[in-house]
Amino acid sequence: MRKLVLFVITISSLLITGCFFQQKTYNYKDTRFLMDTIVEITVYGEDEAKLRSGSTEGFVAFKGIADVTDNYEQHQDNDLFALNKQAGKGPFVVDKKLFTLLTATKKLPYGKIDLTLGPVINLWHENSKTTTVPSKEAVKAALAKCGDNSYTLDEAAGSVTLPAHTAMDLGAVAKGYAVDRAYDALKKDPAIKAALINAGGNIKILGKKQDGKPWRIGIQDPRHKDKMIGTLEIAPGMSLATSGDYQRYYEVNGVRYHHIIDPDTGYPARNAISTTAVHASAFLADYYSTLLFILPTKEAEKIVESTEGLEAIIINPEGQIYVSPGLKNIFKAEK
Amino acid sequence: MRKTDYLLLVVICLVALAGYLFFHSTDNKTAKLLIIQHDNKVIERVDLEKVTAETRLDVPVQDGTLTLMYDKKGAWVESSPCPEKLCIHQGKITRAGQTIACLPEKVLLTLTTPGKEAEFDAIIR
Repeated sequence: MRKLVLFVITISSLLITGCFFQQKTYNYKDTRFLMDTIVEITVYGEDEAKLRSGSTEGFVAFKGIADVTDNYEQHQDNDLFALNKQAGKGPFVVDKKLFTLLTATKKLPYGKIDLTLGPVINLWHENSKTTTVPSKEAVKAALAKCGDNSYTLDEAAGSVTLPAHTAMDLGAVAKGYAVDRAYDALKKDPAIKAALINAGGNIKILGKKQDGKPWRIGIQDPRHKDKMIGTLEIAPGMSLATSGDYQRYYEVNGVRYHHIIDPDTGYPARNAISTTAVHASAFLADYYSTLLFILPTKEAEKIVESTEGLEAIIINPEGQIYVSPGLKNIFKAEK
Repeated sequence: MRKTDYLLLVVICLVALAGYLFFHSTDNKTAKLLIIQHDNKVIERVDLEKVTAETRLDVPVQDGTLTLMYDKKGAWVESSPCPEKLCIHQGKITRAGQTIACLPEKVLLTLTTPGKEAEFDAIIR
């Protein structure tokens, strides 16, 4: 019996000692305002000082994309702002990061999203400042300037040619692309064991949580801001992006005018009120969340089910929720 | 097994329990902490558990004053001089992991849990 008591004492001592000497894991969260949204990078690891510098590297990578894709302010002489000013003036050599992004956008499937929709987006942006709706003629005239993705790239020269009067707007893809670049920077850092990047709803996850539990991402109810429609349990390396009509909008005579424009009509898209896309690439998750928002629900569901690696949640204006087959086991609806 | 052996076992169990409670004392799954930031600096931390009445906080911002409110359950922006009022549209946040941002005025409200267990790692909207 004495042996048993001795055994219990030894095990208890080891457990208690283990608690004292276990490697402590820190998390460090940095928040910055970039790309007209809040960008949060949370990193986990054992060396607090290295986590700070690692997170900064993530922000440097993110800002590198934010600056060259900003179409409201010029940051350097070969960024998107500068490119838009050169529309109709022949080939223009752009920053390498911007060129790489534009090369990736050229390969995107489904031509529905027009990245040269700048004139229409700018028109709505200006009207939002005075809470007015642009006239049908103004929308039509702006739409006529858009180029149906009519930009051309010259790989050898690293130049882009934009037809006259068009303007590029990379709002449908730039945040996701920037999240991917931040992820790449964090992944290279051995001090970072896990990380979560959240750029205004464009999320990417690196590594496993210390407690071994899955990463839990809550999805807000688009019409009841204090409620959730459910939770997604996301695996490391995966990304999510949400597009909705309930964050950036204004109302005129009870009608909501949000920021996601249907390229066919020049008016805010009305087929969905919220779409969440899940994909390994944050760039593609961002693109698909916008695409699925614009398309009629049935067409959007067909694309989700026929595109490898893509999963989605789509909420239509009647409040019906579509959850793609691949998410059924990891989506927990709110009770 | 002698009486003293049993006593020793009880003592060990109590020590182990005390150790467990010590290491998990910060895990409070329901407590909520409101962190208010302006221009990337924390200006106030509020333990919502201790809030007894609806409270108003005026934050001087570049275009005037942003007024935010909080109570035991959460926080919201009541008024803001920003042009698009997106921060007001975001409504009331009540769950750990939620944020409200006013980008033009650089104000950020974050709800978090003081313990290790947050309900969500992030909330997308």
